[in-house]
Amino acid sequence: MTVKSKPLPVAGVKRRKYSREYVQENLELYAIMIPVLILIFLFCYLPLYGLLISFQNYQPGDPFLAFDGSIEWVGLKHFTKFISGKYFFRLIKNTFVLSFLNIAVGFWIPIIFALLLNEIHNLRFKKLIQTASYLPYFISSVVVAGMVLSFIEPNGLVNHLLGIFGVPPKAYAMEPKYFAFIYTFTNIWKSFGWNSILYISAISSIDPSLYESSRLDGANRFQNIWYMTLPSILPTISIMLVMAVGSVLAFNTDLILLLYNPATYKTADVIGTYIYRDGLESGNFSFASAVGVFTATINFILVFAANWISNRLTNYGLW
Amino acid sequence: MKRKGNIYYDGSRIGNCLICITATILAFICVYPMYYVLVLSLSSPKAAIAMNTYLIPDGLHFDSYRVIMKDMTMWRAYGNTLLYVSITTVLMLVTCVLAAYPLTSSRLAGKKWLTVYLLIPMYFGGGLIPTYLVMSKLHLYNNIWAIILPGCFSIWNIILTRTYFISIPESLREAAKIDGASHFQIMTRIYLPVAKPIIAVIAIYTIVGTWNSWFNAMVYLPNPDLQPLQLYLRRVLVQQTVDLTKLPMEEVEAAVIRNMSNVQLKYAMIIFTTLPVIFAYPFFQKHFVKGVMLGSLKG
Amino acid sequence: MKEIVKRTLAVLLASAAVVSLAGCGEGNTQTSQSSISSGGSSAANGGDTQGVSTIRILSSETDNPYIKLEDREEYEIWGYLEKLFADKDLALDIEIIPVDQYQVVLQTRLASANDLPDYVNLTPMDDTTALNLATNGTLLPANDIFENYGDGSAWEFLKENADFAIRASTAEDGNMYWIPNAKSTYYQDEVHSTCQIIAIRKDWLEKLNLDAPENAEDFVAVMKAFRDQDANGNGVADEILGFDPSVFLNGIAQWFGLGTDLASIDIQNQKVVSPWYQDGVKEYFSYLNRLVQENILDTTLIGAASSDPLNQKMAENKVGATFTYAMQKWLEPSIKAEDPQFLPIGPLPAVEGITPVNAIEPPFLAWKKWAFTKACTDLDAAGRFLDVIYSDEYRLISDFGIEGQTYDIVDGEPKLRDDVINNSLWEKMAEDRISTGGYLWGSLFPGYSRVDMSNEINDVEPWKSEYQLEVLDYQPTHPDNPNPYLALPTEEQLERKADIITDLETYSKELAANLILGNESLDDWDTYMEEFKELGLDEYLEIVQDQLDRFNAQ
Repeated sequence: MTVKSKPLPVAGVKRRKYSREYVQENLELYAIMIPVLILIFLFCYLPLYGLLISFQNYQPGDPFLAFDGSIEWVGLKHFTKFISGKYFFRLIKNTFVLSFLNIAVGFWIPIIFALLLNEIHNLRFKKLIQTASYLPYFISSVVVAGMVLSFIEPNGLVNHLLGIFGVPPKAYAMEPKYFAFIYTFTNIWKSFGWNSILYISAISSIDPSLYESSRLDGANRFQNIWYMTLPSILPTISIMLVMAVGSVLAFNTDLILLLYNPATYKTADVIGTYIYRDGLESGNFSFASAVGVFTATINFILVFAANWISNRLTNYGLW
Repeated sequence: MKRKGNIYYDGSRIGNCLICITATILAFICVYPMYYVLVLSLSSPKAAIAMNTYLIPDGLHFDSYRVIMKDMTMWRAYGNTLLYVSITTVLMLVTCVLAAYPLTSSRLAGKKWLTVYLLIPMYFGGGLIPTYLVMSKLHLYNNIWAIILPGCFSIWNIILTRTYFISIPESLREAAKIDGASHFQIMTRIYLPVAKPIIAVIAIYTIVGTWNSWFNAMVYLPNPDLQPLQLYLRRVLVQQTVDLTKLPMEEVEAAVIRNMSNVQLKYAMIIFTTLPVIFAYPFFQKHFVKGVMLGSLKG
Repeated sequence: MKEIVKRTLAVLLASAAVVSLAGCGEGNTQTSQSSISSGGSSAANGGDTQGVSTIRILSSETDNPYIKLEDREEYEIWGYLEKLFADKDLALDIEIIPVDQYQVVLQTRLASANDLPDYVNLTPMDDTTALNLATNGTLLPANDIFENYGDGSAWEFLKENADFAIRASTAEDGNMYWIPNAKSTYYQDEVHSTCQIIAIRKDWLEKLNLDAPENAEDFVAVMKAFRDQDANGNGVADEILGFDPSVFLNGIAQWFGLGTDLASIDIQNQKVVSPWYQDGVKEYFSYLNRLVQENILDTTLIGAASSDPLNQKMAENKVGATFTYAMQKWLEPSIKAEDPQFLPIGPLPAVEGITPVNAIEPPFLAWKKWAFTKACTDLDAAGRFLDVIYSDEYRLISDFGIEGQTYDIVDGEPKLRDDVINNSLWEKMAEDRISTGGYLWGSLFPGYSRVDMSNEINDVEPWKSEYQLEVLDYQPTHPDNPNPYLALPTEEQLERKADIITDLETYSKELAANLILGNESLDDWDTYMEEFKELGLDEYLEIVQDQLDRFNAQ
């Protein structure tokens, strides 16, 4: 395992830093990267000027930037409109709650599943289970939502099963308090197998000789997992967690749109769905863009914070 | 070759049983819905709308599959998709390795700024119209590279690759440096061979991602001859984008009838598009399920 | 093996820089080859061939699943159309975009003013965006072309027959920037139109020996009987009322005299009202709440994201009553049951002193948009173009097609053949390359049609036609879609509407759902009203009222 090597506080470091060797090495490294950096610049950075519309009253067909006074600059109007809106706090709260649940539960399940798979002897069985687990990822959200809704309706499968235990039938889809559970469950079911692929691959790169020596030491299954497997995939876990924290305010709007309804807005309406409805009703590009900038900024700050914490705790981070 | 993957361990029998049972239950929960989709895609159209056949198809109706496959355009779209998937995937692997390798070096200058450079686009985007303008300025409008170039790099995948690379001991690189190897040589000779698991994962991500994507094609490829399969399939489903409440009754009628006949198509399409991925999957799976012998390199 | 893989990857990496940079370069050469317009008749730009002017058109493919514009050259009728244009020294250069893609292509092309056509189908673009394109000069005022170019016959025709469409499409500055499709419906030469109502299962009524409900109370009793006596015979009490009450356009709200939308038009009084402010609204919500308590109303359909759940219940033969068009013919075939029948009922009286409302389809409809852009410099050609598409010859081939192929002359009048009217034969028509012009090029040009309801009335089951005839003169009425009665909003009004509408709609739908489900109480009514005022409902109503007044004043 690598521990980040920090520049040593030795006198003369500065001179060494710009030595010929150092410059040449960096030239070499940058030469390797430059094609990708250019691609990113072309396709990600060039269009960024579009963010300017967050500060304008933009309508399609208007220029994005002009100095002849044809642009109506409105400053932070759209931001204040969003923040002072009737639903602002509810949207933020719902977005955070659903994301938090998704991380608190959904983040760990693929890892546990990967660990579980690793404990299976039979390679063929292991492959079969692994293949099965990612299938739900390929069912489109529309169909997934349709199935979930038909399973939880008063005459549906879930109510029949609960009926056996004497629970009276209920329209779960209409009750705000169940929404978070339904959404989180659906989301995890749809994606845990797919998300576990990365961890499986990380586990597969663990040196088997490590296990062998630990077996000689008499370690049991859980000790193996705890002292061998988990530390080995810790870099992957940390990075994934950092990125998950950084996407708290941006996530699976599609699925929510298909699962929620006005009766569950109270717990289900999130920033993404609100903007979707706003787009349908009013087609206000500037407002949507401003909200986008708002959430992206918060996410950006969060990812930095998470990375800082991760670097402190595990020594692994994005940089 | 002998299987080495799991010889290391001998857990208790009960533990093994429990694990197998849990795994089987999980697999069932994941497979059944797919099977249900298959059943619905084969049942009679009314049964598909009613969604009430669970185990055995209500008759065998291949009409939906016929609708998908009868059209020559579909096969052309299929070919296009294969082309896009293969080129994009190869380029993706290249860009990931190229960008990730230098980021693992502790001597890289301005690494922090590079990371910020990579992170910004993950959160901020310019929106539809500016991106369109850039694409058309680059002469990519109505051009197959409009699908490939923006899809052939992914900052997310770069970060994943880099995370994998930093688990490779830096001492390996140092040793090679002393032997006079250039960074490029170190990357291709030392890092690449042990990076198979992550390369397989990224290949799978890219193949599936490209296979399923249609948005860029919708925006940048108005020419149906160049369009990928998913856009074609989406077209079979979505015939109308207009708000029904603003139409006169005759048009509503036509739309409603179309919608109903489309219900089953949805299911047939899932089966139709998932099968090739499932068949291609084992080829990649073997690279990350079994694992590589990193240890052997150490010597 | 491994060595080969390694080496291949090494080579790939080595050439990576070259490949990904050359990507753009190679792309350039590709463009010129592949971006040849997908339209077949890609004549040279401009009017350079002996006085023939070419109009460059951007349009979507037809909505029809079989008859496609892409194949137009193979249809005989297309030749008839080209001839009409050729007679006026016009040629068409058409770029056709698949329907699902059209909105985004339109947005990107027009918004960036990139590669503009002369004439464009603007349908997927909302009024706000389209008006803005007009204000910034991308769209030309069509009324100017109508009035000052061509021979003036088109303008005359439109004014005489579809004045309402002009009024509904004229912006604040007095210009009409886009031309809509226009349709007016008549019955025996009087203005009439169909309506949307609650329809109940006639076969179930007969099976259980019940009378059709006469008022809202009866309706509850009948629906209860459906459920308790197992009308669908599956042994489960699952017969339901299938409709979405999160919006006011649902049939039952109209029994309580309520409007059809957040801002609804009372046609008789020419007044814009909101159901939330109307008299029967509290009774309406307690009535629906009762339906929920009685397990009649299927709550899972409230605000459903798609029509699938309703279709699902319909197919399973569980829907005892639903909200639909009075003369619909499409629900019955989707039900898995023997000879199911829907009987339209209502508007049923529900509260004393309140006359129920009928939700009609506006008899004058203006929908879809076509426009000329600033790229069109040959305005005279544009004028001739309009003359063609509003000429009698054009209307004949568009509405009826070719004599002996799609229509016959009966009693001196053209009459479509029966197999052309029937949708289920479209596939066959497409195979034989037979079509009326309308089916083939409906997405290319606006049209005007005058529809006689008697065709439809003769075409449906007797109980539906009887009902339709009975309610033809029913008053009061609200339109199911207010737009045809409204002048376009001003720029200011658009902005205000955009500012308040999302929160208003959210609040309205959420409150309605919660009142119906009993999660909110009618006792707090005053708070709700205050909230509506705060969210700007009054202002919203004023804006719509102003649009209505301006429409009437024109």
